[in-house]
Amino acid sequence: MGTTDRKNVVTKASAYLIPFLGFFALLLVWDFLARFSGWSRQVFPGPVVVLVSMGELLADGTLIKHTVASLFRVTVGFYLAALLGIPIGIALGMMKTARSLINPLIQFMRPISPLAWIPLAMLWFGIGDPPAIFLIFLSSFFPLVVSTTIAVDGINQTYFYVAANFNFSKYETIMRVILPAITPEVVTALRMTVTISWLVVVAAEMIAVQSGLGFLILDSRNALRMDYVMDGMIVIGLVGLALDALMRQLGSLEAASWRSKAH
Amino acid sequence: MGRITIEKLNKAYANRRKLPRSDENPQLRKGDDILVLKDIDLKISDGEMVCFLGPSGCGKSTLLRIIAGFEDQSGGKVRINGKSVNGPSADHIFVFQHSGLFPWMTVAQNVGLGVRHLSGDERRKRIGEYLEMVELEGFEQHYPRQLSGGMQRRAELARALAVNPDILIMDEPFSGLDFLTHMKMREEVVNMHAFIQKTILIVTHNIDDALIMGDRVVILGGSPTGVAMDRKLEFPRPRNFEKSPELSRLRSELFLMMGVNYAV
Repeated sequence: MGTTDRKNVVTKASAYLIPFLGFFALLLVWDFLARFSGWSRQVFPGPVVVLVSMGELLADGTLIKHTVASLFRVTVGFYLAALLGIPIGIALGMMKTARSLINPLIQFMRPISPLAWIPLAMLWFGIGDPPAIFLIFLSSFFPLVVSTTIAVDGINQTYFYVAANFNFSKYETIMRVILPAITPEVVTALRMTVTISWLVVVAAEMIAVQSGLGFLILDSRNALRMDYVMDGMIVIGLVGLALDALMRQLGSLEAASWRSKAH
Repeated sequence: MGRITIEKLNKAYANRRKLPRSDENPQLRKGDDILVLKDIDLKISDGEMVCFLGPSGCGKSTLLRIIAGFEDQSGGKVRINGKSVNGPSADHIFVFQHSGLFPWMTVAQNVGLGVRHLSGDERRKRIGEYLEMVELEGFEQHYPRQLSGGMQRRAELARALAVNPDILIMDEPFSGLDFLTHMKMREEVVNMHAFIQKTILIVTHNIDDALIMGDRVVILGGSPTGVAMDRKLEFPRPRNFEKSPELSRLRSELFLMMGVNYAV
């Protein structure tokens, strides 16, 4: 029994270690390339240089300030998109005529990259947070509307029969059938769109604002500090990882997981 | 009270096939009406347990859905206790072929749907009562996915009974259950009917189920579908094919009618 216990401990430990192994390999390759590529450390800084400069940026508070600025914009834009997009998606899913009216419009707007809106966003909202928030809103809003509509449309018709059979009011049907039925899909959609909005915020900050991780990268490029550029990229990746983990927590809630656990 | 009167009921569907099936009228075009149910006349008295038999696709389920108010008829009348059916109602509850339990609600929440207007204590008492009736005490906080197929059917039955409906409509209530669970459920439905004395309509394609359970068996057949046979079953319960030669003869007759020559 001792051996099986040890085996369990080993498999458990390796399950935690394997993800870090990938990062470790990346670091090794990066260091190797930086040393032997022949490029100067200004053009291709190695991991040690980048780590040292990250220490500097952390110490003087710039990194925290820019990360908070970016997260603020993503949070506001994303919440706005969810607060508007999910109810609109539900309405479109329930009303067939409204859907045939509005769906083509949404499908027309959806493939237009939020970045194509940058000129208009700057003209309409000026400089600062509003245009960046607007762009994030656009990037999450359409996917959320579409996923919610599809989720409502895909609800098993039997559940509506049951609701009618038990004399559910319209309000009860929405609260006790539609909302719980679509929760798993909507959580998945939220998980996808939060990544998209994080992607877009960096691009938006390169143009319209004087803060945020996107601005940090652009500003460092102008100063020819590639180590700072890489610091910005690393933080973006780490925050992305954290956002996904957060959303995954949401997905494991009881309300969101009735489908995945069904046999 | 659960008295049902069906008069000259017709149901037609728009044809969605471009080419007619080989056994259909070759003149049939897309968009033409196809008559599925034709001139169905039935009178079902209060407390009767009626089993509907018929080949698959003949419209048994459609007939039940019309009675339940989920679908409109194309012609004729359906009256329950003298009033025309217009839409679903908690007075006639439909028990679905595949689980109609809400998977996001616990068993207690599901069973409580029909009594949600009652106050907390009263509601809990009713839920407990009906769960006890289907022997699901202790599973209040379970989700449907955590129950076996048979337990899910019983939970749905409890939910239907808890509203105290006049009529219970069951669409193939035992399909997909293993043999023993099927037998037990059948027994339970018979006992439940003896106990609550409600009108129960059951669609099945299992002839034995119909003969063991029904106060009456209605066979649908023909094209378009009409009532091919309507027979009261005045055999004492519990019924047994071996002990009742008459029931056994009727069984062979029905099998022959449905196209099976050597029923075992």
